Amino acid sequence: MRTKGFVFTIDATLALFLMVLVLITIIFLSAQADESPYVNLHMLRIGKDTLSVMDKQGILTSGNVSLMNSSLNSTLQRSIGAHVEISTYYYDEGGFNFMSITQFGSNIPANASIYVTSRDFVAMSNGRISNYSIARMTLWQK
Amino acid sequence: MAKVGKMKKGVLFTVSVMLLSISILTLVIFLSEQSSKGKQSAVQLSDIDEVSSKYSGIEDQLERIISTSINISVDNSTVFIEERLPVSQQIAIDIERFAWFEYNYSEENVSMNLSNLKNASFLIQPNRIEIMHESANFYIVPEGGNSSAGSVQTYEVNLTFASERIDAAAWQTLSNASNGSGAVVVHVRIQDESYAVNLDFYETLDKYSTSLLNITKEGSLVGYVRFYSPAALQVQHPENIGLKASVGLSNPVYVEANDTLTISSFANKTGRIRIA
Repeated sequence: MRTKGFVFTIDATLALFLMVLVLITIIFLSAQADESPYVNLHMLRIGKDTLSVMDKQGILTSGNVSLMNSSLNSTLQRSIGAHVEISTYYYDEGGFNFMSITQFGSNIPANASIYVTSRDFVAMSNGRISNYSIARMTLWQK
Repeated sequence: MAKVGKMKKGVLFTVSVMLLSISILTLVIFLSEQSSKGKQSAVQLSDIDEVSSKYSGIEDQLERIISTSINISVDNSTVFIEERLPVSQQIAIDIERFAWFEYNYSEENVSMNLSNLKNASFLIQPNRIEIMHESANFYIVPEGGNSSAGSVQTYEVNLTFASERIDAAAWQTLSNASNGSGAVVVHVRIQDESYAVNLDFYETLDKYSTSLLNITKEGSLVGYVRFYSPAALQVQHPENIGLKASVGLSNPVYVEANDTLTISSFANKTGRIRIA
């Protein structure tokens, strides 16, 4: 009876050990699938391209929030959310002075993985730079 | 005997379970290493991508600053230049301030040496042909040799002066050539804004000799267009004229500023500033 109990315990321990190993493998593989390192790269590239398109089309320099919102919605895939904050400065007396912050896009969700990229740009008026801006785009997967 | 047989079965079972466990562990370690390598590559790619984006973003802004006074475009093997002469001094001021802004606010280390760009000096590449602006002169100057001067095939120059600023233009020196590698086909149009003067000059010139077209008002020299060796162009001009020029080459080209831009972060990128 004693030997049988001992063997049964060993058998149960080994089974448990095997099950734990299989579970660890499954968790590890599923975590890998969720957090592909290339997702980060892909999201940032989407953000940079979107900012570049909006800048080259003169939308970022327009200061028109509704135009920026509609451009953002039409440029980005529906599965991606974005929020853009543009900090604008002007040059005066040998230095740059803060002028304004413009925000558009969706609100950043609290529990999502976010990706942040930026683009610096200048606005021209009457053949000279009128202001200097930094657009910071926060992206997430909906 | 039966007991020994059962023990053997038990040992065999334990050994096979252990081997299976070791195999699974090895697989997990292998996958983990692969994943780590993948993450490392992705981070490196991300750094390179970040620096490249910053670099092209700065190029875009510099091109935007320049385009307020000079429009340069390329169509395969022809470079088109459109501007008002002389070039506005505001370009140099704006380039300097933009460089200062990037120095202060960029998350990456941005280093720009933009002295040539501030003087509106560019390079047609890969032929190393310089486009220059110096006080009252506009130049397109190739280097000697087949790959530079030898590649110049055509020049189109269109100068628009203020109304009643000019009344005539004529060749003072003309060095014609028959078609061949030493010839350049030129078309010069001299006009004023009212179109009272509209003169066209079509010639096939010797690249390696001088030809001079004087532009005058009541016999007094207002400016000139000079073609000289090696296949170079000079426009000597008064204040406030419109210039449209194109240079046709024998190979596909691009235009860049002969200045360097360096972005340093986790990755580095240094290069000349592409304009067109």
